[in-house]
Amino acid sequence: MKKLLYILIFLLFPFVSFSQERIFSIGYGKTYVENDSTTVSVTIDLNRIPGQSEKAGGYYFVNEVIDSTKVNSRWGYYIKPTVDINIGSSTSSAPNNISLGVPVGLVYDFKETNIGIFSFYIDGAPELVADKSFNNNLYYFSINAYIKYEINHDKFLINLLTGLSNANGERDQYALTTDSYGRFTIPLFLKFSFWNTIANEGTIKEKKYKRINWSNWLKFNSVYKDAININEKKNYTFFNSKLDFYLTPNLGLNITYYNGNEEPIFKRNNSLTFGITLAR
Amino acid sequence: MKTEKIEQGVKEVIAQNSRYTVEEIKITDPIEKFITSYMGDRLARELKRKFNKIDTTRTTNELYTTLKKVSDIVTYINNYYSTL
Repeated sequence: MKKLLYILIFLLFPFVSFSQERIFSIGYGKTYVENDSTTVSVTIDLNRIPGQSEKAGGYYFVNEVIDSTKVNSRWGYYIKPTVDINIGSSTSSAPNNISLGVPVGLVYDFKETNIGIFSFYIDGAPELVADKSFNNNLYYFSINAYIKYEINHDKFLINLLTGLSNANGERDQYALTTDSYGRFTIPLFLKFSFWNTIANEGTIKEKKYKRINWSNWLKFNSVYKDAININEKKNYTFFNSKLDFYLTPNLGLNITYYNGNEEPIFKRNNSLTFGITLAR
Repeated sequence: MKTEKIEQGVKEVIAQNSRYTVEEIKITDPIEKFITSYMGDRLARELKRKFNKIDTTRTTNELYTTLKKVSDIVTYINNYYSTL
């Protein structure tokens, strides 16, 4: 099984990697809980970016319009692969998870408004979330509904995503029995980009690249079914904030802050990491 | 479909999905000035609604890789209409 998962990740990797804005980040960090005070972390974001949003952009297997010949056809459908790998040298330095998913869904594009553009998505996805050793795995089917918003101004950009997610499935732990798993999640993603703050006058209009990105990802998880040895309580929040300063279009410095508990093992995480971002 | 008509259509689609008007959109401008990759999937669908011959999935993925400027979209769509 483990071997199959490695193969699956390897196969999905090239599909999604070429289209990412931020390919990966490698960092050196300091944690404020547990005993390990210095850590090294690696984050590879493929269509699913902590501190960014897995729902944002990326590579699609399918993205089509339903009945495009109709003038007012605002519906579409999509299938999209997602992979996310966050691995730290200590348990508390990163969420330490590996996720795979293939959402299949419907989308409704609202007409442009004075305050920006909105699209509504509803999808179902078989998903796997594993810890870095693959000894503690969650397999579930999630149903997600969310709204995506963008306003793109001369001087700044705001992206917002919020919605509701429900997951039902199993938790599989090495050498232990399998347990049922279920949760509700309210995700809130907010990203600001600022440009021209350092750029020369000549580059202002073209926005050649974004100089500063600030992404915030807040999740409220309510776990209503799980293995007793994993969950002592029901409600968890997870907060992730990432600030990227781009030195060139492809290279940046980042500061990442994690606080909270996240799937699959919901271990307390409170850390600050400094790293290098490689982007497209 | 003539290139001029495609260019006008592309500008109209971008204008309908950004706070810019058709007149403000220049052919040499980068696409991200108007609509970012965050909404790239939407832009591909909106282009399909205007230009029925294009392949939406391929357009979505091209918007993340090779299509960077408004002129790139015009050339890309022009290929569909000139070869089919």
